[in-house]
Amino acid sequence: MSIDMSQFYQVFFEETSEHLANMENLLLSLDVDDPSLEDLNAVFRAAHSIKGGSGTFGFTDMTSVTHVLESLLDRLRKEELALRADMVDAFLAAGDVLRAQLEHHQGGPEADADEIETVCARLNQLAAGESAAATPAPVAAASAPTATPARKIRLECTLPPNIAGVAEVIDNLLDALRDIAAVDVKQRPNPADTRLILVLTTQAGDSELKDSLAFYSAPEGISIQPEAEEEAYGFFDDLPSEAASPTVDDSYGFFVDLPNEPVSAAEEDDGFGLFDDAPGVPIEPAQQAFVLPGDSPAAIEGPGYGIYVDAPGGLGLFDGAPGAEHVLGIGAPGLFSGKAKSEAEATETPGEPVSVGRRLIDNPSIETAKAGRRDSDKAVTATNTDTSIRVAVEKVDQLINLVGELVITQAMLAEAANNLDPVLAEKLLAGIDLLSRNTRDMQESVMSIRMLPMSMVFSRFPRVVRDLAGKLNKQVEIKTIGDNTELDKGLIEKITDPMTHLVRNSLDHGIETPEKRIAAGKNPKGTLTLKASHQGGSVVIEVIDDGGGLNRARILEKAKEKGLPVSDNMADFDVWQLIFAPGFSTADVVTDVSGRGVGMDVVKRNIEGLGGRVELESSPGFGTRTVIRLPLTLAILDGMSVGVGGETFIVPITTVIESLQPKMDDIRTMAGDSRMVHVRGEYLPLISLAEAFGLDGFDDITKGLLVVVEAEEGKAALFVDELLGQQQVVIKSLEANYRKVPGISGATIMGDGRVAMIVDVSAVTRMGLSNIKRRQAA
Amino acid sequence: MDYPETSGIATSGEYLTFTLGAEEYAIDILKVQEIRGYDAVTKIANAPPFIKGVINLRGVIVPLVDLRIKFNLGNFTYDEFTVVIILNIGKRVMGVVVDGVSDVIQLSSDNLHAAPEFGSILDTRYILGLGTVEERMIIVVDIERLMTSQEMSLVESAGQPLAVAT
Amino acid sequence: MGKVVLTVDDSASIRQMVAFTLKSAGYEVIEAVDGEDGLNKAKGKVADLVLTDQNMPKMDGLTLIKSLRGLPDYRTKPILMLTTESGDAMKAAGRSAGATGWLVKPFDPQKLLEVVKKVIG
Repeated sequence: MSIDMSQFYQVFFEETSEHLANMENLLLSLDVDDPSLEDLNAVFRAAHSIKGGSGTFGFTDMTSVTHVLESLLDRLRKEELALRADMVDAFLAAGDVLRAQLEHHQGGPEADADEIETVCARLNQLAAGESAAATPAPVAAASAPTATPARKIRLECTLPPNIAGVAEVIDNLLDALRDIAAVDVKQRPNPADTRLILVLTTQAGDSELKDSLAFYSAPEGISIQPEAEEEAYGFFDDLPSEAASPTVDDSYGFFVDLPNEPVSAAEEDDGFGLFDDAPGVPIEPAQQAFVLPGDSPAAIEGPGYGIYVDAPGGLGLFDGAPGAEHVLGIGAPGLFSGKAKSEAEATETPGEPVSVGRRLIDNPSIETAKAGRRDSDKAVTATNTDTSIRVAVEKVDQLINLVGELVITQAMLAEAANNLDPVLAEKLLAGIDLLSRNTRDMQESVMSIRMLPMSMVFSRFPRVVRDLAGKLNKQVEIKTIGDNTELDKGLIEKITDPMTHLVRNSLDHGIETPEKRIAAGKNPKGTLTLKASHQGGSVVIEVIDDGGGLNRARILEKAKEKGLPVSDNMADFDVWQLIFAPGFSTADVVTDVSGRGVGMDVVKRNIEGLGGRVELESSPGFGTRTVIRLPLTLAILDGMSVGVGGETFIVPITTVIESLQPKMDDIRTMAGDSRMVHVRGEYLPLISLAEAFGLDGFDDITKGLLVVVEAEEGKAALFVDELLGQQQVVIKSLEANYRKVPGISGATIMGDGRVAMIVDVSAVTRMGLSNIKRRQAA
Repeated sequence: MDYPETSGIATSGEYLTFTLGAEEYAIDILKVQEIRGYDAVTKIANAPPFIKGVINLRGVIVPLVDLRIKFNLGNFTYDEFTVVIILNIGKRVMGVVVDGVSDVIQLSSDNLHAAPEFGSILDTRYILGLGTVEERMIIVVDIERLMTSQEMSLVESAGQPLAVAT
Repeated sequence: MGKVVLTVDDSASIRQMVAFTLKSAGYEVIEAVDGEDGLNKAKGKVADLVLTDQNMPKMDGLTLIKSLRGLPDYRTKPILMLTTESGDAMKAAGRSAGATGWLVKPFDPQKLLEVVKKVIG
């Protein structure tokens, strides 16, 4: 039976990213001086799982890296080595490499081979540097050919029949190999088996070896596997003799304690062997782990597995149906414990295997208490894999659209039902009531499918902060609040970049060096806080630092230099907003961290592009707080519906400051009949939506209403006929079937089934302003 | 017969006929999604007059073109008999407002004659040919070419084909 | 046919692969996400064979094996350890815990079936 392994890839990818993220979190929270053994174990387990999975699914490049990583981690968790900060760095780098490799397997760009090599070499060095006894982990040649210490490998080469029988050719081949390796010939090709089998000790990488054999065999015909350091296997001779397991079928005779001659690995050419678990025989996973006692029939085939001949359950294999009682007798764990006593490795109390298990089960508090976050993380992962299904986003979006339709249909029904006699149509009306409740609930739950916790964004920052702080020689602690605040998936994806920018800014320009902080009487370690919360229909994300704050004088100075319209008595709030102007930077030093002042304007534009807003608060000496307000979702917009010339338009609530009834006195007509309106001490351009959209709206200003909006371009007053209300609307694209319309950002379907346009406030303001300028010029 | 100027799409041979003023037109039935009445149109700002606006077609926002305005057929009304033909052009959905839908007819290329250079309100570029059914002359329109043309201004960069074009 | 195999692994991908492979070969498969889950599920329905990973959260494979051996139903049932660690220490530990045998990761579906067939047919 052949099984398509690729069907499991997706699960492996997802699970591996989770492991990598988890590993990084654990590493970042490790206390280098006093690492928790639980955490080290968890990191080890993550690496270990990735190794197991990648090996199984054929992503061997990842197996090589995790193998090296795991070796060092294993020594740490066994407390053979002490953890050092540079080890954590190396682990983090290894995590990056693995992520790159993982992305490559998912269709991303190829991982940087040099990087892989560097990381593996570094890990090897760390493992070796600490202790001479450290066994350098074998590194796949593909990843680190030059950094690899001499290694022992087993090379099998299938030769074409025409050369397999020619002794001189084989000699030539061996000579060629001897230039780069110490060669031990295990099998020369023979008529029955055309493979040439060698054990090589070499520094050469796999590809180099294959190259040197290219003349003789195609690369596919060559298999290279790590060879065990020792070839000989030890056999127990202190175990009870045959008598102890008298019921084993004689024809098999798999007695572990048989004083058989050691079987050398090289003699296992047929690919199987019954492994005897002798101590002191290191065996690499890829190597054959199964030793068959000399003359035993080949009842068990295949490398990589073994069956303890005298183990419970194992006998079924050997003697089949008969001898069930024997099986029982032999299978009793008690028998085993007796044997196990003689084994140095058997640390558990023999004879009481159950109690060990029970201790763990009965005392879950020990586990959970010690494991802390790791355990809960793990639990989440485990539950997720068990109880969640992965669905394509398009399917969810389709569902959201359909529910949107349902909501509209329901609204239409409800409207139609208004005309019915409530007595006669009592049941129908009750049904419609129920329907509207159900649809609302349904819409809510469907929308929540797209919601993801902010921790998806926050989780990347401990690493960013750690790396940046190191680069800048600053001490920064990161805190996150409200990790579980949910946000639409589309927003989650798009908010990461602007946030990264803000965090970089805080670290670079906000938080001071430890010296400066001490001088200012502050804790040398700065704090960066990321906070998310729901406020009404929006999500508020804050980036807070306890750094030096913004420098009002410098910003004003800079703004004047840039020719921005500023005055010295501007409100603080307005001064801070200046740094969102394009190309604005007050940094004394342009660093490679946050660059040269490109940034805040981009951040602002990005956030506004998401229908959000960004504001800054700062207090000299105490720090800066950047507040981002985002709608809960991209698909839904909080809108104010306004009527203009018989049409309904939606103005995004996020842009609306206030609405007011204009008085004729407040209106100033400027040159070329453009109008300004006086609102709270400011003159704002007055833009008639009817004019902007070519509709017949009210002419009399005093009959209509003004909606004061704020966009990128500044404030403006939109003149509309009437306010119709506030509501959430589902955003629909106009461009799908039509084209972009100036001044309109999209469309939506109202409760009565009609289409309403959503006003692009920025564009309309721009249009209005340019009209005014044009008229003034005329 | 040779029509090098057509968009070269295989047709079913079945055509939906409709009237615009005094003329009868036919379009490939495979391009027709459905036929519905005219109601609840939302105006689009600063669009040419023949683009009546958009409608909500089961959650999809669909633009409507009034071909009667486009082709300057004065004297038209919007009433319960006004018909909208919803078309699938490429991946887009759009509607055309016509005076009425008459029939589904069979036309093979043998019944088609080349269009005269003038005489129709429609540019010959958009005409696949002229057919005759029961003594009536029917103008077969290359509706895809027409709807995606620049003069229709229905698509972002006109002339950009939505499906196959020669 | 219809023999029941309990596969215990914290890695969903490996678990899926094992389950899929065994199901395709006609075995009934119960999946468990860690040793604790494995022990509970083993108690729920007696499996003819247990395949368990070693490194798992909550309860590792060795502990699971020991715990299973303490249950009358599992005294003689074959239990295989799936492990990336093929070192002798692990094997000795596996053996003293009461494992029937081990299968080194990575393994492919064929290998898995081969071994499972040998153990429970």
